[in-house]
Amino acid sequence: MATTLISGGRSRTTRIGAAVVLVPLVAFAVFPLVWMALSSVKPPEQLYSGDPGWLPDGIDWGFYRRVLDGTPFAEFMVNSLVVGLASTAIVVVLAAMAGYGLARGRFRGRAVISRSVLVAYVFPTILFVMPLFILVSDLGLAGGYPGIVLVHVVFNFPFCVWLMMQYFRTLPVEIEEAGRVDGLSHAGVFVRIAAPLAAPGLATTAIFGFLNSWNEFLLSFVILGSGERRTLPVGIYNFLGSEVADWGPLMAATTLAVLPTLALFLLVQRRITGGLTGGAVKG
Amino acid sequence: MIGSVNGAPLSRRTFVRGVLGAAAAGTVGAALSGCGSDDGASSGDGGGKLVFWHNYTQEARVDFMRQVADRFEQSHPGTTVEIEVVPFPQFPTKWPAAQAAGSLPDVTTVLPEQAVSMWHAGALNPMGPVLDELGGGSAFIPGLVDKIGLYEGEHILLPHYVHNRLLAHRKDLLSAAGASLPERPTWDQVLTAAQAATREPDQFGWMLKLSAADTGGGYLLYMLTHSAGGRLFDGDGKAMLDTAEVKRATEFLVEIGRTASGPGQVNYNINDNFSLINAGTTVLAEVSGAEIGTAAIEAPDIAAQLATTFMPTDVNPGHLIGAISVALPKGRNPTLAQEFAAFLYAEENYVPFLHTIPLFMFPSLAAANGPAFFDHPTIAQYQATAQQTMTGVEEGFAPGFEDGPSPYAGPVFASHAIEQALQSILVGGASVDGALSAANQTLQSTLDSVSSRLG
Amino acid sequence: MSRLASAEPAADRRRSPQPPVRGPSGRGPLGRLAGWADRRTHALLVLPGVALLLAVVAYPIGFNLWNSFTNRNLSFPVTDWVGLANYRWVLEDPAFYSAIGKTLVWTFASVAGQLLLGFAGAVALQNVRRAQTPLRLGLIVPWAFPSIVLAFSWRFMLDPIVGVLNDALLAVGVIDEPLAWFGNESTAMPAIVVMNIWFGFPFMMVALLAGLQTIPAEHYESARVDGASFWQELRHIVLPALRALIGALVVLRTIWVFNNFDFVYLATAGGPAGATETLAVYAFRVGWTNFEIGRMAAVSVAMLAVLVVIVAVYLRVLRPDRDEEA
Repeated sequence: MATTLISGGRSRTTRIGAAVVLVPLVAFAVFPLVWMALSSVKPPEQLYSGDPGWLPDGIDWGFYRRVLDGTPFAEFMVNSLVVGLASTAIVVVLAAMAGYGLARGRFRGRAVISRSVLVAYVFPTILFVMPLFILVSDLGLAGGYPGIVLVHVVFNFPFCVWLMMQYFRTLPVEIEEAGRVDGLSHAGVFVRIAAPLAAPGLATTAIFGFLNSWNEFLLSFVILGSGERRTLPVGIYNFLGSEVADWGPLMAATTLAVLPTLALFLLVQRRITGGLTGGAVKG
Repeated sequence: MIGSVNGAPLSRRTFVRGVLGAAAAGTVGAALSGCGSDDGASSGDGGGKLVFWHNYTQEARVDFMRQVADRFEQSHPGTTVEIEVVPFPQFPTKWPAAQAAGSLPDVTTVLPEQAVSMWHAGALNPMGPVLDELGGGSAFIPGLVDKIGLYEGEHILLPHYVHNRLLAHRKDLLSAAGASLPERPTWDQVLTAAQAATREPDQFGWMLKLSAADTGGGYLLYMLTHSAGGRLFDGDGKAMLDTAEVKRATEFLVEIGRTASGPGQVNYNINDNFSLINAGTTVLAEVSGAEIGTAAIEAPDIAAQLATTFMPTDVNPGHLIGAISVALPKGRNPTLAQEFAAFLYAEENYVPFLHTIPLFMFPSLAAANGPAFFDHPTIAQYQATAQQTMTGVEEGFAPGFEDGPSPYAGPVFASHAIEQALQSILVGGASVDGALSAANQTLQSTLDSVSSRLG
Repeated sequence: MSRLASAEPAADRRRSPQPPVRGPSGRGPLGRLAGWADRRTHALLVLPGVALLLAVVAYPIGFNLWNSFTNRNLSFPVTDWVGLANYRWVLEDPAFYSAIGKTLVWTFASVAGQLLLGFAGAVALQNVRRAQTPLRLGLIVPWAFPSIVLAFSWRFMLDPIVGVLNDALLAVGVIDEPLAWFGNESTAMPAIVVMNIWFGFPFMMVALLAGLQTIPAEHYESARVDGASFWQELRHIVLPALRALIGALVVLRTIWVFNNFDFVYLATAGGPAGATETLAVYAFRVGWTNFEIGRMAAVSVAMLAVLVVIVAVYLRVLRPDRDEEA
């Protein structure tokens, strides 16, 4: 039923092998966050002492209070959320459309088009900042959400298109052909059959787009600005970019910034593994 | 010096009258040259939006600046002040984009060495009218306004606040090592103390901060070279890293780096100082006062153990002035910008701002160089530090500004040639001579390209 | 074995792009328009996103190409055409070539590590039955980290004096004295690569996990009938099925890592003594720090040349944007 690699019936050796891979990998992955969360509740005297030790000498929420009371942290979050959700929604739709068109279309120049979208990545971002800001300013979009959403969409688009293209390619063509037989237009096939079947790909792409936008610093800083609309990374950077690096609040703020993204992942992650088979049965 | 201007005692009242009675009343704008309107309430082009960038990231300073802006809005009906916080490390990213897109702020804080190139680019309006309004150069610490801001006959900026680099030490750790430092220590005294206080692997006499992500290494070499009576470059744009003074200064730093500083010295930035001092990782550190001010709030026990001396002295004391300054970019609202810049120096906006984080900021205004500022309990507690700071501000220079504002200073430090040279000696195995001569070439080509454009 | 080979993804089935039956078609002008649009659906679907992208990036790219032939410097108002002078300057600078080498190491090691860990994570996740959700959640944590903070937190963890890594390694006796991981010529590059692998493997893993779902179950089943081992399945079913996806991931990640500036700069600023000065950091140092926009643009065009070569090789070898061939 489930199309997992060697699901069920596989030997114990494989399962043990998987655990041997996963345990250190998870430890590697989560350690910095755990360590950061632990540090963020250490009392200042402990954190800034020469030998802070591993565990806090008692929980001190002082750094969190400083972040939450001392900065408009909730507003940063809302700003990031607005930009992240808007740009993700747009980029997922555009990328799914283009990815499908490139995967299934037979028109000339497909390879050229799929490669040419990579131009967005040809230069380091820092080189794009100035001309992009000129462009966005000329469009009258600097300093507001539409400008930064546009830019995030554009810079996430190539990656997302390539991902979607791959996922659409791996779908069996017969299901779509059956849809044609049933009288669906090409657009109908895309919307009713292919897109639902590609749910794991869509979910992956959405996570990718959202995290990129949520965590992006440079373009947000320049285009959206560091005034009232600043996003989380721009707000957090203030703890680092000052004359005195403020580790305590920085770690509290980072811990707070990571949590919503993990919650979001929790919401969509089932999609990543739950998509194809359910759809295929229906198709 | 403290508590007086030119020896005369100064009261709060004199401060008000002497500096900015007018600004405090919110009518300064009407008098500013070039202002069209004589309608004091909404001068200039009838209010409008003013954009102010500052680099004051800490919440106390952010909040205070917002209050200043609110007061300005109240005294200028129809005006809104929009503030963007632009931390120093990101200023060089944000500024070029804004300049190229024609969306510069109206008022910004800036470092003097950056302002000169902005001026060359034609991106700044002169500060003269604001200076006149404030009472001319004598309203500031003697000589300060000219030595950091008078360029090609114009005042391109005014210092908002100042500090001087000092050598801080942990009294507890230094005396435990049986060492001590006089108020004007010589190079040898500092070296001896630093070596004595080094207890590897977790306590070092003087942890250097030589990352190429900031200009800490460049500033350090500047201070020592200045102390040795030399220069990093001359007024005509000739690199001088091949001189005997620079070599001596480099050798001193290398000696510290090898015998009294620790692994990681090539990664640390200036803003790591606070953690390093608090952790006791470093016993000595070149500081601006900000580190002590922050410690006084966040780690009072450690702050109680901190004291300062002047930077190592050879021929001269190794002063280095930091002057966080106000400049007027060519924004959309130049008239309002002048008024706002002056408003920052108004009584209720000035000393209270310096007091938001005591010891972080020292007065650039002469009238504030008195009890109103120094009687703050935290500052009074570190009277010696405050005094050393103000002495350095009078005697020293901003980095590379020995002849006044220089178009070369910014590029010299931004090139990071010095940090690279120090790194290649300390971890790359290069010789002092070899590294300095390579750095001198890099520096010369940087300077040449500036010279050719100044033409 | 032969059965296994034939169980590879049904490439032949995917060969027939045209559906055997035509979709709806109308007779009136509206219907004809609808028919025309229907036949061109695929191209029309591609259009909006690609047009938006090109419209937005065309100016920045042109801007940089143009500037690379000028002495544009934001500190000075006058800009002159200087022809190839910037390029000559870059090509004569030994640091440029050293940066190419550093960039190749940084890029290949990072991408290979990310792919390897991501793949291992994805396959392993498929083989555990319990605690799927917490495991997945744990594994994506690095990806959720704000990248601007990432380098700073790693610097703190790897600090030679207060860092937790040295503490741990000293405790278990792997090292005898604390190491300045970012401050040592021999360890700085490996340290930033590990940091980058940490950051990047979760994305690879999630993308591959989604890819694994699209492999039809019957492929495994037929393999299992043949008694294929885990490794045989991996080699003959999983890898061929994911080849194009892996190719796409590798190409995209390579470009991204190649041009990455923040991680390296914030962790080591290119130091110590240039040991981690990649091309992006080099471009920043010789260009941006003194507002030499023209020179920085020239460096970037030179970087682009290097990148094009790498990507061209990838596209030939991995063919991520082509349909499978037998």
